[in-house]
Amino acid sequence: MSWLHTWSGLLLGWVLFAIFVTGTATYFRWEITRWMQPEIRQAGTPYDAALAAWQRLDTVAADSPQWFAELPDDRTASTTLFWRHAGPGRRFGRETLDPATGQPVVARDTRGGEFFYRFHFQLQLPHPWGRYLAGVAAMFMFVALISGVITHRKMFADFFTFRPGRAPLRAWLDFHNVTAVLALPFYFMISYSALVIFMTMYMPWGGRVLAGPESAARGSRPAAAEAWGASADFAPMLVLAQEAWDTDRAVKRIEVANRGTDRCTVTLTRADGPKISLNAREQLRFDGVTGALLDPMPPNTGPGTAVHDALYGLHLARFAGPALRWSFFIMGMFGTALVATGMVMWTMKRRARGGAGVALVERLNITAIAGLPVAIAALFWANRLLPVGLADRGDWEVYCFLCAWGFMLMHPLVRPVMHAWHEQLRLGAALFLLLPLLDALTAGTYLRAAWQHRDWAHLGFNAAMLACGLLLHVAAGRVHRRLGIAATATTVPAAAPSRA
Amino acid sequence: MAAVSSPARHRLGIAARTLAAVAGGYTLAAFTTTAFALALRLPRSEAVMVATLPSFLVFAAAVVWAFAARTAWRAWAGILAPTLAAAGVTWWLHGGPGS
Amino acid sequence: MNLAALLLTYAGLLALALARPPHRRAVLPREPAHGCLRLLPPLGWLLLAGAACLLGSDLGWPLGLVTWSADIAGSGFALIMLLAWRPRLALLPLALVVGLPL
Repeated sequence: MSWLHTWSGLLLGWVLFAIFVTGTATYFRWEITRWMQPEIRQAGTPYDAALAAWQRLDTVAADSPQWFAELPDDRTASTTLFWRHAGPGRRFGRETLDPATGQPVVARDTRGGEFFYRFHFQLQLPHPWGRYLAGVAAMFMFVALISGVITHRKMFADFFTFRPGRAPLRAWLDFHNVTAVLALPFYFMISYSALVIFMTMYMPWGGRVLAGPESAARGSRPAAAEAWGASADFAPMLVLAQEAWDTDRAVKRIEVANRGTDRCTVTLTRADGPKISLNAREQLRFDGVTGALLDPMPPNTGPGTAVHDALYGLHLARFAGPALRWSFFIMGMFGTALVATGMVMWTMKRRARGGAGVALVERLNITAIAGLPVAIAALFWANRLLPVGLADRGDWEVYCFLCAWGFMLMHPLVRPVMHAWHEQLRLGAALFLLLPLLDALTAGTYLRAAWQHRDWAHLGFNAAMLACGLLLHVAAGRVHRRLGIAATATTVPAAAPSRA
Repeated sequence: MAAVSSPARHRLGIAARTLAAVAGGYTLAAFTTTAFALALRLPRSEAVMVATLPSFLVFAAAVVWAFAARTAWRAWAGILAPTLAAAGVTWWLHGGPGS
Repeated sequence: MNLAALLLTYAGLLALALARPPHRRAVLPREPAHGCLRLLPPLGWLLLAGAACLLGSDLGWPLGLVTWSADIAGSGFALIMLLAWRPRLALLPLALVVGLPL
């Protein structure tokens, strides 16, 4: 069982670490976008933005069968439009609007927080493979959790114990235990719900043997050969929504389905409230031809659906207000530390024995644990330093991220292990600590405006970057101290380890 | 002789358990899902939900069993038997001997 | 209300930690009476349950329990860090609560 814990934790540990880091960042996905696109300021009410979104869709996607619009709220500043192109196939158009003008944004092109969100479950791999790899990683994590609890039952007894001054391995094990027990329910929830979110991909067999009428109906989409029907006026629907919902939690999503047919519907969805289940969304549905209010969709009832929707909602944590969101963020950091300490301990236990396997794991650990922060910092630096007019600028930011990570993969090959740890941690610390300064130099006017308007997204991001930098700085200091100890201890038999 | 073959036997045992855990465990989870989905007699979407949600628990339990069983043979037997049972139930409910 | 629950979880975890001799010796200046010691674990669980009830009645049980487990993670981490580096200060958060109204 101990063997199972060790190897299920290690084998996909690097993937799991990257998933934890990007997933934790995703809790602040929209705030990250705000920092990476400082040009867009919040303006107007969601209802003004809704009207502007509708008008824009009417000009750019008049012949589209399906529209979506995501409206700004107190966390997002811009409107995002999607529409399905007319004709066969599932091709979509996309545009980001400035809610103040109702026109496409004049801002730097960036993926923003979406990068972290996508990386979290697609890992920059071609389509189904990223999701499969993330699923395998989630399953490994779930197994590592169960086997860890079975093998180390006594960790619950001394879970208050963290002895930083003790022998290194003991201190690391303490920290591994502490982070494991503190947020254990969170880890079980997050790994199992990760599997549940894509369960029809990972375990499609239940649906396959029950090929019922529902799956047959989904395939048959009537060709849009019939005459294009006009749709109802949007403004009255919005007035109804405005009467039903306050401005605090206003309309968040607009979806128009089956446009041009007599089955056209308009669905307005209210911003997420403090309900965990994703099924608990409040919606208003309208007949798209007459504009009449329709009866609400019969909710999918049944215990299975309820559990599924609750797990899905828990994983995304959209229900969480600022305080709870920070708690989830911190638990995500604990999870990151749990994975990292486990992987480092694997090498500490085997370092004396040496061998190619240990050398490889050690180097991959450096690239994953110390290198990924450097790559993320490089993404943010690229966001501020790349020319605003560069074509495909958002893609270039990602290339910078990948290149930086590639360098962090090469670097441990030419440096001794502890030096590589130290240098990468220092580099990451410097990049994060200097990021607010870079922000002030390159986006000073926006920073000042954010300060004047008490725009906590922009200011909080800079504060969080300083905190990340300090954390890496402290870690680098600890490695440096061990380097000093090692240097004085091994000056005499220094030639010994080079044989490995 | 014994000293040479013992680590090899140990490795073979671990390889057998790993195979039982990954391939056997997934197959068991898949067949329990289909058996439940067919046996529940619920509306389709709800039946798929109720049958698929616990499947990863079944998978994880099989993995833990594969490494907790005293011998690799027992590990395989403990996974194979319920897999065959679930496969049998699936086959029976999906049409059975008639079709 | 949420701050009160956070402090309750902290107090509960502190009571559980003090039930263990090494932590007790590090935090308390002298050994308390044996009767007090026997009460520490039930007191700890009671305080944790109290925090759960408070959050459950305030936010509804689903959200309350999620917040409760997050509070335990947060206050537990603070407690463990204090026990590791400044054990004498572990009582400080509670002292602040008692002291502030005065």
